[in-house]
Amino acid sequence: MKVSHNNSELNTKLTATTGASTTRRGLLLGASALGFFGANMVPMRALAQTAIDPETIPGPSWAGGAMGGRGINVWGDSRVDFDPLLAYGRADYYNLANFFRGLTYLSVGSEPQLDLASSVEISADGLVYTFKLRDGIMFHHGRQAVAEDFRWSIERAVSPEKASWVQGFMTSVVGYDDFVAGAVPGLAGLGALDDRTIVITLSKPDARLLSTLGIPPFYVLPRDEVERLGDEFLTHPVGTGPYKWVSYDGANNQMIAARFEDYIYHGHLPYLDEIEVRWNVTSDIQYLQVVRGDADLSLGIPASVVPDIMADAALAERFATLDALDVSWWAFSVTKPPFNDVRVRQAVNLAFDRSRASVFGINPTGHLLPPSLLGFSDSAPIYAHDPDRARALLAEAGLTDLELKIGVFGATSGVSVRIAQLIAQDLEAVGIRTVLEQRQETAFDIGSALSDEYDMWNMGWGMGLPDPSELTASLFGTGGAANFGGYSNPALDAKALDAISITDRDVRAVAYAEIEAELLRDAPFLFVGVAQLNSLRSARLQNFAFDAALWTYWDRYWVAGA
Amino acid sequence: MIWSGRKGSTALERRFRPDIAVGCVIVGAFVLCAILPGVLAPHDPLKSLPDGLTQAGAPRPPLNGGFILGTDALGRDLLSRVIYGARVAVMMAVVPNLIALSVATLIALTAGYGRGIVEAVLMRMTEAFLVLPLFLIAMAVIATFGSSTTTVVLTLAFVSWSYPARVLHGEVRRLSTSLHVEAARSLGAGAIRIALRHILPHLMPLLVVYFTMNAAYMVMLEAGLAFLGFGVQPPTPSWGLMLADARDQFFRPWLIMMPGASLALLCIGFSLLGNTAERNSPFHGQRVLL
Repeated sequence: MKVSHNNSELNTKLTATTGASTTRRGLLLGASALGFFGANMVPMRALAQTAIDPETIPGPSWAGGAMGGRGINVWGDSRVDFDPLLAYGRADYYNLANFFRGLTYLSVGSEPQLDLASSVEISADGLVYTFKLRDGIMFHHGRQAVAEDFRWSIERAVSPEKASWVQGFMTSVVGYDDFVAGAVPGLAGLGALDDRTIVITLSKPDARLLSTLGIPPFYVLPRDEVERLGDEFLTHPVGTGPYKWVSYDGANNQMIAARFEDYIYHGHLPYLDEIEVRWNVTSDIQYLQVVRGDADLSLGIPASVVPDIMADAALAERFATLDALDVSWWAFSVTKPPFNDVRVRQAVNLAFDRSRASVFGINPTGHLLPPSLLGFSDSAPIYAHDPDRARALLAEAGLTDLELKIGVFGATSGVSVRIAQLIAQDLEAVGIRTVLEQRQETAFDIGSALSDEYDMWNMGWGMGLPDPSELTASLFGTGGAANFGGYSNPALDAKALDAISITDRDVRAVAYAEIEAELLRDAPFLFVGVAQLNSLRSARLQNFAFDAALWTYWDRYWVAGA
Repeated sequence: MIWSGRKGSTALERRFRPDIAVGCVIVGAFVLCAILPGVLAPHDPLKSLPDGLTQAGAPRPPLNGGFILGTDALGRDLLSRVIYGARVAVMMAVVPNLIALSVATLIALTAGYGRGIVEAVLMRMTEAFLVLPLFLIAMAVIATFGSSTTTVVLTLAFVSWSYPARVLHGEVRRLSTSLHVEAARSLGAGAIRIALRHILPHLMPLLVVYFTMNAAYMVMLEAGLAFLGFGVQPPTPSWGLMLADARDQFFRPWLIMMPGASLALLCIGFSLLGNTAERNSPFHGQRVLL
């Protein structure tokens, strides 16, 4: 088991899940038994905290930086909104953690750690989570954050009025169905016992809860400021995060935020005096700005310039890539010929040499699950490139003259069009003719009608929650939000539903690995892989770390010479 | 014809015209590419070649690895794709152009010779069409009916018949009152015979001028639509598609320059021929009756 490196409470007493005092080791054993968040969780603390112990600051390593200076982050999005529920683009969503924070926080590897909560007690049956807040949590406008703010913020994220995309992440909370149906005014399973205590009661164990609370839509907001600012809140975020709003210039696509002096970890973090967020900057210009030192960080470096970067030792040192939680696959219309025959689906998977997609910013894993996600297994039965076997399967299926109509959606990106052409080349090699049709809209704009018009089409899914349950429900669950190919496997649906409630992390990982293995054998998709997140930083930006869930950690970057 | 000069010009005036020569050479070269791409192209334009990318996975620049114009992001030979791309460009310059001019001629003859309510309806319809944003209409039509080559051809014709129809209509009206038409009418010739035998032949110079000038417009229109994903579909080599594919290859300028230069050259070639046709037509220097 791994232990968070910045944890100072290795030997302090902890509040055990059963309520009795125990050591950290005992807690980890208890946590492991319950499996509620694995071993990387910062230990829960029983003692009220009057000053922040720097060792309890969650997230990747941060010590040793220099205070001062300004950091500039550039993005490609055409607009940004900083209300956590309305932030969909990269520039807004992945900057939310600069302005807002929540009960938990996702460190590198997307592991949940306590953030504004100083401790959490989990009942023995795994149904009641009791969070104690840290002392002295302040909002940017000068008011102290109390438990009611957290309760209200979580309830707002689930509310039927907001109808947010994150609503479904709280299905296990008591009273969820009645609340989202509008039958009751509040979410019964959420409560603020006093100013420092929040209780979340579940109707069934839910292994996702601590991760869910660590994603920005569930961070705490000041109700008074949200209501006072109204729509202005979109461009004037007020939260408890490390940086405080200074200016927002929509005409020039620029926002500036300054160090929040009353941040919960003040005195330690953040290092920078100011951060500047620029958006509407195309990827090639992002690259040039970082190379020239006009910007400090881009996470939108196009795959086409990666060979140039790697050929330059100085740039290569500042380049980093990781597998995003951004799944890429081609869906089959499985309810009609030819893809109602599993042999044809398998043949197409065998015919495609997905390794060729790697030059387009795709890690061609051949899996559905991203490598960093729970349940990813190296021993999964992925399809190797085997055109001979593909031909044999097609012959076995009695298909000698096959033509497929392939829809290429969101074609402006270019990558999908190129991969479609690679697929067409490989399918032709096994005797399948193809007709490609580019469409500017996304597959989600067409929905289930796709199945009538095309035999296969490209799909992508950017995960909001670093948990495999999001994929199992939406992508291949019967009637799932992105299951436009009509795939249905009731046995797999049942396994996926059960897996949400499995509290032992290792057991849960095995369950999801088995689900993926069965899905691979059933092959409702042409499995491709995950998009890669290419980053380039300036020579002066120090302590860079990034993660598939939150992407950046601007509170702990510092600049050389500050 | 590379020697120019209208009938009756002096020997001095019958001098060599380099613009005509250049136009003929350019258009001729691309037409040759369009007719014989399999002979001229060194590689299959649809196939990614085993050595088509560098070890780092980047497209090869011109004159690298034996590729004269380099390769694209899929490791395909760019010269072969440019040559095969001429087939789409020339086809779009000719086929929808012929369809559009045929429709325009039919409408102009019907309205110009028929007069009355028929003329009023057809010409108001034509004028209404003239004020529409034709590029957007083309995108909408293709988005609705799909982007097969046939749809693209018909769409290009659909959005480009109106202006020549308006101009040809004016000429038909002028011709319908001319003496030779009056004579034919006096001899008992019917409307269709007059239209086809006595008016249509006199429209040919104007049609030739429009054909050459419209050709460049058609090539640009198709490339523009293809660039936006509304033209012919991949992997068919099309210069507009090749430009679209090079959008995120900002630092590999040959991927933009080769199809871009081909597009510009062919349009220049057609424009030079169009200017020549106009200069040598009976309408040279005249205001066309609208």
